[in-house]
Amino acid sequence: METDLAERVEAPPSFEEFFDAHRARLFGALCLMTRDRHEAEEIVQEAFARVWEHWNGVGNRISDPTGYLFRIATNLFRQRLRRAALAARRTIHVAPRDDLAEIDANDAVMRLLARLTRKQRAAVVLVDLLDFPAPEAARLLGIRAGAVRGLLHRARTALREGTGGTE
Amino acid sequence: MSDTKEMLERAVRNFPAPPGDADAVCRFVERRNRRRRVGSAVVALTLTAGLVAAAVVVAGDGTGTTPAEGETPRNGPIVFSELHRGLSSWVLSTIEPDGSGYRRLREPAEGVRDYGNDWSPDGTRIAYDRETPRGIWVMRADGSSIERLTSDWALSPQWSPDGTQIAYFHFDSDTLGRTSESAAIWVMDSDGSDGHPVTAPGDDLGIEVDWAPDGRHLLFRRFAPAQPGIYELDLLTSEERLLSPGPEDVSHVQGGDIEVGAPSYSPDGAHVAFDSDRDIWVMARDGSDMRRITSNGPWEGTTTARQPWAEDPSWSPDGASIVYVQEGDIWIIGVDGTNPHPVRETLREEVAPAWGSMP
Repeated sequence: METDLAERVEAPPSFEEFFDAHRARLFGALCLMTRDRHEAEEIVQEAFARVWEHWNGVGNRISDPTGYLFRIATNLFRQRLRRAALAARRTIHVAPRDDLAEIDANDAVMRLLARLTRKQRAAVVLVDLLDFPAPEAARLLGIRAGAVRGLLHRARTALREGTGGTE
Repeated sequence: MSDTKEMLERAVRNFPAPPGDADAVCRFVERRNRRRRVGSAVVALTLTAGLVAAAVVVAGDGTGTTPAEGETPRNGPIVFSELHRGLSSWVLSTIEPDGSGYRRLREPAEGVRDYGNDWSPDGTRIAYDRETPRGIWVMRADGSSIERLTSDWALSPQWSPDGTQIAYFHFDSDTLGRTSESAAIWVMDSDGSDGHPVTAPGDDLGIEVDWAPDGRHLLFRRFAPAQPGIYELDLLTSEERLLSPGPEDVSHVQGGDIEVGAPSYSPDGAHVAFDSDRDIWVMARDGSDMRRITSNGPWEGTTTARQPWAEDPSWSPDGASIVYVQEGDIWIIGVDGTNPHPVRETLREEVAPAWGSMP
C-alpha cells in the first residue's frame, strides 16, 4: 500500500493535470504583461500547444516543465513585442489595443502597471511574480542582465511610489 | 514576500482564465498539423516550378548591370524612408553619403506609407513596398515612372545582382484580403511577372531578405524555436543552411526567438552584417569571426533611461562602410567599426536605409 502511494506521489502529472495547474496563473501573468486579454489567450494556447507537441519529451527529459512552459510563453510574448514594434513603425495610425481600462479604474496597481512600458511590465512580472532569476529574465527578454535590473528598478520604484511607499 | 510581489499577486487575480481544457489544446494542435501537411504538399509542387525558374537565372547569360569583374563599384546615394508624423506618412528620400543632396521623392500624404527599399544594381531604380495600395512598387531614382509590380501583401523587395529578378516576402491573405502571420519568400521577374514561392510558408520567418552577389543564394532569418538564426537558401537546390544563430550571449534561448535581424551580404559575398542586441555586427559568411562594430552595448551598467539602439545595416557598394539606423537617424560606420557618424541630424524618424551604386 505504501509503495503504491509513493508511486502515485512521484508519478509525473498528466498533461490535463499540468494544464489545470498552470493555465490560470500563466493567463493572469500574460494579461499583466500584454494588457490584452485576447493576446494573452492566444499566447497561452500556443504555449500549451507547444508543450503538448513535446509532452513526452518535456515530461520525461526536463525536470521543470513548468519553467519550460513559462519560457515558451515569454518567448512568444517577445516575438510579438518585436513584431508590434515593426507594425507600429509601419502603421502608426493604429493605436495599440488595451482592453483593461475597466479594471484599471477599480484597481490602483493596474493603473500603475498601465504606466509602465511593456518591457518594464514583463521584467517585473517575470522576476517578482514568477520568480525567474534576473539573468534568466534578461535572456528571455533578449536583453542583458544589467538592462533587466534597470527595468526592474524603474518598475518597482513606480509601483512603490504610486502606492505611497518609498525605496 | 516583497511588497511588489504582493501587489502583483493581487493584480493577477483580476484575470480569471477563460473557459478551456486540455482537450481543446490537443484538438488545436491536431488541426494545425493537418493544415501544415496540406500546405507543405501545395508548396512542394510550387517549389518544383520555382526551382526551374531559379536554375534559369543562375545559369543564364546574365544581362547584368553590375560592374565588370575586378571593378570596384562606386558609392552612390542612400535611399531611406522618413516619417512625417502629422500625416502618419512614410515617404522615400535620397541623400548623398556626405549629407548633401537631400531629396524627397514623394510628397507626404495621409495614408502613404512607402517602406522597405532597395536599389537596382545599376543604381537607376528603387524597389519598395507600399501599404496602400499594397504591393511591391518600383520608381526611378528621381521619383518618376512609378510602377506597381504586385498587388499582394508583400514586403522588403530585393533585386537580384543581375537586375532581372526581385525577391520579397509574400504574406498569405484570405478572401477578404486580411493578412496572416504566415509568409514565404517569393521571387518574381523585375517586371512583376512570374511571382512564385522559393520557401515554404511559415510564421517563423523574419521579413528581411537579401540576395547574394553570386545570384544563387538568399539570406534571411528564422526565429523558430528549434533553430533560430541567420539562414542561407540555395535557389538551385532549395536547401537551407544555418549560418549562425547570432551572438552567443543573446541566442539559444530555450523555447524560441532570438534578437537577430536584417542580415545583409557584403558586396563580395564574403561577409554578413546584421543587427542584434542593440548593435550592428559583422561575421564571415560561414558564421565565424563575429564582431560587434557599433558600441551601444553591452547592456551591463546601463542605468539611464536612454538606451541607444542600432539596426537595419546595409553595405556600401565598395564594401568599406555600412549604413544603418541609430535611434531614428541614418548613420554610417566603417566595417572595422571606425568613424561612426550621422549622415544627417534631424528630428524626423528615418529608417530602412539602402546604399546604391553610382549609375
